[in-house]
Amino acid sequence: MSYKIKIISLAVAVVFFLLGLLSVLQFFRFQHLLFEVTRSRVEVPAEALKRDVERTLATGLSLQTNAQLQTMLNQVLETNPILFSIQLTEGSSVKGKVVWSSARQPDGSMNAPVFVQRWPIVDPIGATVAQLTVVSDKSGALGIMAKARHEVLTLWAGLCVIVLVLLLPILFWLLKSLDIIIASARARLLGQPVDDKAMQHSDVYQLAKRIQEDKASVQVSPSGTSA
Amino acid sequence: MNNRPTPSIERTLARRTCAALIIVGLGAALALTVMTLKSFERILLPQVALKSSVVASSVRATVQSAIELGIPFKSLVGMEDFLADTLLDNEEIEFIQVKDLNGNAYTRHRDGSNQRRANNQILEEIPPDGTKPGVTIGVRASYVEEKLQIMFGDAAVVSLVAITAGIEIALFFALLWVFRPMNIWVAMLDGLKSGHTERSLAQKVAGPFSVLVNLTQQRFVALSAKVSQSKAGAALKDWNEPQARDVRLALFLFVFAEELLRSFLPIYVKEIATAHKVLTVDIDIALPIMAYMLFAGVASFFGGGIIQRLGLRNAFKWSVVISTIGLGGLAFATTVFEVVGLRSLCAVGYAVATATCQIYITRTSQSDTGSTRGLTSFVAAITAASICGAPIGAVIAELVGIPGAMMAGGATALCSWLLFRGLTMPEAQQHAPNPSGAKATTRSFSELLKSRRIWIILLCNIASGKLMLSGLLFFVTPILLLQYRFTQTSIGQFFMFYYVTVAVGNVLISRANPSPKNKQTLMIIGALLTGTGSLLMAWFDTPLALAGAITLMGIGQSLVLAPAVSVLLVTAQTELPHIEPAHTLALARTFDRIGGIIGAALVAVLSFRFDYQGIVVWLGIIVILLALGNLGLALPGRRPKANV
Repeated sequence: MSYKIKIISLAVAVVFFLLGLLSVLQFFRFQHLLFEVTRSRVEVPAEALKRDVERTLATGLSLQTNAQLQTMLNQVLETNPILFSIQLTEGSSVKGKVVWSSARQPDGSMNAPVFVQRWPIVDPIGATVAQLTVVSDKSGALGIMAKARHEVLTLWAGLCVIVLVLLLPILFWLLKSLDIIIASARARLLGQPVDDKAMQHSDVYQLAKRIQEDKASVQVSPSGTSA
Repeated sequence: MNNRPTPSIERTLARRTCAALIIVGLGAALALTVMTLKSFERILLPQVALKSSVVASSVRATVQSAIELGIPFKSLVGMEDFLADTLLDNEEIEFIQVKDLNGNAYTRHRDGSNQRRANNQILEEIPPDGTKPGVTIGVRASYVEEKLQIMFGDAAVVSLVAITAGIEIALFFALLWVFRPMNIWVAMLDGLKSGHTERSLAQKVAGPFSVLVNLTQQRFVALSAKVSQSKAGAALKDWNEPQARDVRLALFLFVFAEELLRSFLPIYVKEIATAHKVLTVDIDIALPIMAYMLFAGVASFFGGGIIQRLGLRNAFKWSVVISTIGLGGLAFATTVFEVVGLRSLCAVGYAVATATCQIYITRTSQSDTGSTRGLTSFVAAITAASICGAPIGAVIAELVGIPGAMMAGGATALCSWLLFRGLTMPEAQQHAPNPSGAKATTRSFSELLKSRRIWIILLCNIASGKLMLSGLLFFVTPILLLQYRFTQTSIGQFFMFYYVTVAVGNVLISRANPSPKNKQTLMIIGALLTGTGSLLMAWFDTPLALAGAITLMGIGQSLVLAPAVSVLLVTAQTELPHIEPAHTLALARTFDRIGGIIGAALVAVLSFRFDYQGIVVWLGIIVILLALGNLGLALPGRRPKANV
């Protein structure tokens, strides 16, 4: 009985492994897709803002003196509740001096998870003169991820139960014939009567039979002690 | 009349159990995929709609700002281009319509028309309000479906990986519970028959057949008492004879540990090189690959001697220790030099461990058939590990980060030792000591390299294939896929285009068993195909073209790998019959490693002039040019040299 449980446990574990691996992978693929969609929501106003800033540069106004930029930043922040802050920094490096910035009043968002996206601001001659950094709320996406994780986990658990319910009787039924093979071979070794015809296609039984026919069978009593 | 013998009950039972597992397992995998996709679609659709409403607001704000400048709605210039650009930036949108209160409208569809059609679209609408225009956006209802469809492909890949790994695990337990007890039992029965009963049972037998083993063992109790009196102190031979398949899971786990890194190592090195550059970033990425190939080659050369000195168990133990330090240490590497050093350690460990397993298998086989079967098991374990390694490594990297995945690799290598240490070691076959072994090998190499045909086979087929593999698959592919914005898991799965193609191709080639002449033709076609796929990248800079290049390389290599070795051995046998085949094979392995080193170096050199797309094309051209060198095989070869 114990070996049956071992074999069935192994078989079920292999199927659970397959389902587990599949669930993890599907989940990551979904996470990638969701983050892509969420980030692209930020891209729309950010790229419009980038175009507007570059247009002002084309008119000859410098980044540092154009006070209109502050209004533009505030307006974008106001109309897009997903955004936490927008910054315009000097130069092509990420750590340049902040020229203009706009941020929401500090609230619970201070420690909230965020997406940070950057766009280079290019002047009419093609040089990168500034960086537009947009920080947006990630907690919404993470909330959706938690929901999706829960759904995937529920599905995985449900399917594991179904697999268990299906495999258990099938494997028990299949392994019954292994019991018969071993019992017949054992009986043959012990010299007990066996239905020879039913076992004619069993390799294990035929081995035991051949040994007995060679008169080299194991001479042990049914109780297990040497005769 | 059908005279096919009836399969045994045991075989039928094994088949039915496998069928039940595969049907239930794959059915559950399919159900899981379909249901998760439905669930994801339901979650994603509102998010896409939300994005579309942001696009609608943005379009409205832009048009509104133009109207505020005093331009009448009807006279707005460039609206068509503006809407076309918006459609281009947002692939989920099918059409955009901007209209004012008077019914004037600008409409743009993805196909370029101005006519709005009612098909499967989700509408996001902002109505016109005073001077503010109204915007209607049609989102393709099938957009999310299209994005999620790719997950079906993932499911197929993961199922294949899980089944391959599952088979290895199941084989291990089948060995433990079925094959080993059966072998022991058969050995005992043979012992009873022949009267040779002086053996011991070192380990407890588990599984269903333990009943039969224990029953037979009782017969030996009295006999063994006699033996222990008569042969006191003498070590008894175990009933359990070591088999080639015993080492399979240990080998699988060891190679798997190394393959786990395949999909992210160049990306990891690139990150380190970007922070602390030694030469150029691309050369820095090439250095660990080149060092790995070099040290693996050197360790393979001296591996046999090391194993003979240490013994199988100690050789494998030290390989695992070295590899674990190498793999685990990579997680903490901060400079390119550290990565190069640690990868060199990994290479030495890998070369010695695989050679140990090969020797273990050779020692367990008692006949040519046994040896072939054992080596088939060796190749199967390595192939299975290669198929599973990259995709599972990528999932682990995504789950716990790249350093975590490297430590997981180290831990897996350690697990392989736990399996290996429990094995009964086969006895070493007694060979006459050969003090001039290294000298003889060098002499053979020098003689072999004087043959033009052997040069062609080695350079134009074996080295060129490895050149392509190392340059394209191990170096460029992960970085190029990252540029295409692939996720780590997708990069891992991409490697299967090569490994699965090679595995299937190898099976087909071994089944077809072509004649020696056909083998040469196949080898030449394979060498050409290896590079041909890369030319696709000259026209299409897409992941699909890269997949095509890798798949064609896989097909090409499956045509080259086995036939080239066979053609090489036949050529060496014909032209230099006194050269030992082992030396010919050692030379082939050396060229294989050289190809690997050149492949990585070539990518680094080409990176001065070309981008990664161009590098792939040039690698293909170089390999095709090398393959054309096979034309030299048409010229007559040397006559056999007499043995002196």
